[in-house]
Amino acid sequence: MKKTVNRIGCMLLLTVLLVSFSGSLFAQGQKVKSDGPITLTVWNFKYAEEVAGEAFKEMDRLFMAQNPGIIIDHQAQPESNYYQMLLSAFSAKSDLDVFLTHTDQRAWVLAELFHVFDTDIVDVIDTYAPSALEACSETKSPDSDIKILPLTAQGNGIYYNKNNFRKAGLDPEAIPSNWNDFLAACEKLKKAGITPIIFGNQGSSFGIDFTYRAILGTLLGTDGINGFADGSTAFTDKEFVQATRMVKELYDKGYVNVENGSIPYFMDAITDFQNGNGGFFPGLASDIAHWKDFGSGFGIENVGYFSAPVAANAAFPNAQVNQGAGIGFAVTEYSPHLDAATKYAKFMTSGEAGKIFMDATGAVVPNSTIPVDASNVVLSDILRRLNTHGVPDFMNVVPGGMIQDFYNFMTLYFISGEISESQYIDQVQKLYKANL
Amino acid sequence: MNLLKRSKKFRLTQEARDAWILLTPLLLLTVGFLVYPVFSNFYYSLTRWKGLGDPVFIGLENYTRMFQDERFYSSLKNMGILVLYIPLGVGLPLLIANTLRNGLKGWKMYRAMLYLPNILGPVILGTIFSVMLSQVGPITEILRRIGFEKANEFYLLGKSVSAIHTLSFIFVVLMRVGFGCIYFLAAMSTIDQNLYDAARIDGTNKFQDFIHVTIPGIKFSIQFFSVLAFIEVFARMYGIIFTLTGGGPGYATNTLEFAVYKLSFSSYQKGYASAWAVVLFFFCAIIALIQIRLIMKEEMS
Repeated sequence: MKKTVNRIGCMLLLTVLLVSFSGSLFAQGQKVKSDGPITLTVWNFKYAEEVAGEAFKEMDRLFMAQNPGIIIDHQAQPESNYYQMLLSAFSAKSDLDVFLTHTDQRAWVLAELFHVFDTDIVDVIDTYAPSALEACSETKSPDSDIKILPLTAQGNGIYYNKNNFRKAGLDPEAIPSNWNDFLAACEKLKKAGITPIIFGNQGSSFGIDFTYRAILGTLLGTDGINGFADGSTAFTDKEFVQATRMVKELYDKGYVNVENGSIPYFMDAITDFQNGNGGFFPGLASDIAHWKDFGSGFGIENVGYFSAPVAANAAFPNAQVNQGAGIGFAVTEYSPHLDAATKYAKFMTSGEAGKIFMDATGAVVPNSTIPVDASNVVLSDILRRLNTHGVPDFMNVVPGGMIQDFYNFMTLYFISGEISESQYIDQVQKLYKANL
Repeated sequence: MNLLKRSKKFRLTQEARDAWILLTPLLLLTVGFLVYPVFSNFYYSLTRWKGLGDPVFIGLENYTRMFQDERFYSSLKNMGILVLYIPLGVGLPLLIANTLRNGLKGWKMYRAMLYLPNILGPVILGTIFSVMLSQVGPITEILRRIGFEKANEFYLLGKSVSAIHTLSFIFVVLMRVGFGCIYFLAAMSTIDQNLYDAARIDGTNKFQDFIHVTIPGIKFSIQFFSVLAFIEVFARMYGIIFTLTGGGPGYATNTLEFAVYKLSFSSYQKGYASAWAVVLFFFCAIIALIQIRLIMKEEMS
């Protein structure tokens, strides 16, 4: 009996030792290999997408061919809880060197563990668009505290389907950006049996959100929007109330697709508009839900675009929401291969690699080493608006911690209609103050 | 002399030593993965922390904020509604089990059908129902084809009241009915047949058999199943809420458990989320105590 107990004891001890040893090896990951090629672990929430994923694979192949000592372990991660996973990875300092990230509040909440690129990009800083660098800087400066290298320029506005305009008896070349013209166009579309506006609001209310962003740009301008960063602009201000009433009017008049609450923006609503349904769609300037997606659906010659529906009293009628950068590559501050990781991030956001991404996805890469196709009329118009009338993106300025709750209140007010306008405004302002 | 006495007093018997050797790994795991997290959660609930960097001690500020937060009371209300469905979630499988026990043609097929939601699990079930009940889902399409043109305006998950009741019915009743049937059938098989025979001699009908023989005979099983239902409502709903409603519309299907996740991982307020988790911990502790008491009572009887 004693022998058996001793044996069990030894086995338990051995198990504990084995678990500890393998645990420490796991924590070290691949980093224990000191000689041989370096393996960079890259996380990417777009890697599983068919078109973008193929582009990234090709970019990786090119990088590895030019840098034989570096192997890229590119891993697809789900976008729905990407930042939660990043937070966990950062907390555990797990095996992650480079990662794709948005340039909005979702990223900045975690930015203390992002590597600062300032000294690494001295030689190429002029090739990146200053507005993109500002979006990638933690302090919104074009030449310091750069923590993300921009892969796409981004903004948002309203697309329309010229085919459906013709069917409704509207002139497709007369852009209905004036609010009254916009409502009149919606009415004509509705009468012709075409859903005037396609929204996707399930989960996160992006349909409402993107429309808000566009309208608020025209009502508040750069200073007003930046005021949301420090509380000098409030949700109780008349401009936000007016924007709210404008969006609500679209719902009240039945211009928004009835099913908007049960279809997600990504990708169902996008696909719906791409398939030729609907008159208007609040889309993006680059990368996804943009001119290329819709052009492939109903012909680029039938894609119309304008920055925002503009109210008669709007102080900034030409405002075009410009995020500066949409997505980009960042490097973990604790990566044991900082040089290689930085090299990879620079490579992916410029030159040949950036062009591969742009050609495949239709994204605008804000880097002067990648010329944009000037023959594309819609793209040229979007770029002109972004460059000449850019205003910050309101959602990039408000505290990141309030966004999901803000969406909840949008749902309650606009979609389920369970709270009043004053309750909605009060709740959002309260939420904003709590997160400021 | 005293030292010798003391060492004798603390000398373990062979049996106790063996027990300690076998229990130690489990105890270590319990301390590492259960006890430590619970205590550290109490500490984090007194801090401001987003999950990175050092937590900042802020005393009871998170609790003050929580008790002033409408979302907290809305979560409690939602859990109250879910709890109200437990009698139906217990009673329905009990009745079905009794029917099956009394013999029903093709009962094996019914049993398989009833058990299916339990096999699928909360995540798959949530996903299936979110598609089925969608305004662009198959049910809407069928309704439209048979003449209900405005079927897409009806969305069970789109209004607060209908969303919480739909969630409650799916999770507390539908998902548990299969397991409940099997569980109660197994419990009913332990009842002595002589009791039914004796009751028949006294002239009882099937309903009276059910009330006066079956229910008292499986009283402990019913109590235990009810306690399990409470545990599931309080601490195992994350998967179905995430896939079915995401906690919405608004906060209509938010529970304490789901809110802990949202606050912690979507809003990066881990300190504040920990305060919510402390409240959840006390609810779960009360349920666990009731469960332990029931088991002890049964063992004693």
